[in-house]
Amino acid sequence: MSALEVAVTLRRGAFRRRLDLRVDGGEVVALVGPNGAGKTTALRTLAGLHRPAAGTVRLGGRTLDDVPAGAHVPTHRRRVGLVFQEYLLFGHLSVRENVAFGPRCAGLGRAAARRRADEWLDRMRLAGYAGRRPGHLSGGQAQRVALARALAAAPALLLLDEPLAALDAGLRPAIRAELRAYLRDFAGPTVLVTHDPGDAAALADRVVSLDRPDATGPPGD
Amino acid sequence: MSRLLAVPAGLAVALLAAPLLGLLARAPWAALGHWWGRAETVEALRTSLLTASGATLVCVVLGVPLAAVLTRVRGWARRLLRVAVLLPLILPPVVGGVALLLVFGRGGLLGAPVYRWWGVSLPFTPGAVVLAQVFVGLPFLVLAVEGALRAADRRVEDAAATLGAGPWTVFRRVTVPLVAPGVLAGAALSWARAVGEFGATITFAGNVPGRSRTVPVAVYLALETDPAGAVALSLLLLGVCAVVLVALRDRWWGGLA
Repeated sequence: MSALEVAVTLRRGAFRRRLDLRVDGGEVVALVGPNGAGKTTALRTLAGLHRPAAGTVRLGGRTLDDVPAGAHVPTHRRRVGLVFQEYLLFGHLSVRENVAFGPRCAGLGRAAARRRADEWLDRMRLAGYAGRRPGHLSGGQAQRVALARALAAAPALLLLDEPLAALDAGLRPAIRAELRAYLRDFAGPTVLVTHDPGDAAALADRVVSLDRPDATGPPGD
Repeated sequence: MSRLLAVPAGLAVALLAAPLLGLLARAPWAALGHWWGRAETVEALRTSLLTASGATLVCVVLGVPLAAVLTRVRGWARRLLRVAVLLPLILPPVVGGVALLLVFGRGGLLGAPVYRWWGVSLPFTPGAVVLAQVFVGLPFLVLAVEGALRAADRRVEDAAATLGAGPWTVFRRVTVPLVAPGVLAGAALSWARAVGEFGATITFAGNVPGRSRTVPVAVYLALETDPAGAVALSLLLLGVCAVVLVALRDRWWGGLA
């Protein structure tokens, strides 16, 4: 009962497009398509940062969006982890405090949240960087911190926006293999977005193509 | 090319440094202790520091929300607000003082009814000094905070929300630290402007010892009767500003550098 079930019309300004998707727990699905196909809008909608124009989003039996019924669960109550393309780490907090942010929001005390963060940093070979500020990390390290921060919040759904796009080309193959290993350990559904078919094939169990929709798009429900 | 630039750049440095060097050259070094220890000097310094700090507090409390509003409004309302914020920057402070007097003076638009009903009058009080300083200092704070808000990547607030942070937690743990350097830099600028305020202060708040006679006003008065005293007071003001701004440099100036 941990599957993600999406049947929505995405909306961003005048942009509309239909998205139907089912992702099982433990499954990794890649959304592939050109710029303007609505990939990032899809992720932001699943995270609750945009409201869909029509349709429903369900996660493990929970209703996150139900436009006909007027239901919308706000982002901070969705338990949806989103790894942004630019990582968006908190620059004023140490790496450990970045990863402890989610557990703190879930109600853990300071010490317990730090222990949880340290476990994740250990698992992702970041233990030596716990006291650093994000500004002093390499691209690959920052990406692992962003992933650790998202996973430490115990999300029921993991979303990744162009997870490898900000990395040097030379680093990508190694980090791609590493990322695939971490994604395999995650029990919930994972949706990642990329414009690179190679990344999609390497990271995902299944690839869903999003083409650029025509100007008007299909009508909503 | 670099030599072409060096001449005017060197002239600019000379222009900035010469007056300060002149102040140091003519300082009555032996008598400084005498001047700085006088009761009037201590009183003026106290008035200056208290009013400037009060004015900075008012600037932060009113200016941060104004800056936040400025980043959100559009169209004519935005242009109107910008003019209102920038006007005190280009207005001669004396004119600002006259304007304050016309509104808040005992016979002013707001001052007259307040005096009639409550018998309270603002001019010649420390409150008048604070008001004059807020008038000239507020633009610095608003511009610094608005700049910080615009430069900040507000999507980190989205990132915080995906980690389970509600709106209040996002504001407290993400937004405030994000713009804090800008707020502190703006506060430092408006404090410095407030400490140096003279024109609007002497026009609107007058020159009452212990109430509205700040150090700049005291310098101006001393210059007519006792130039050495004026130099001693100027050095005091210079020293206080330098000490405060250097001491807070690392924490406060991050938003400007």
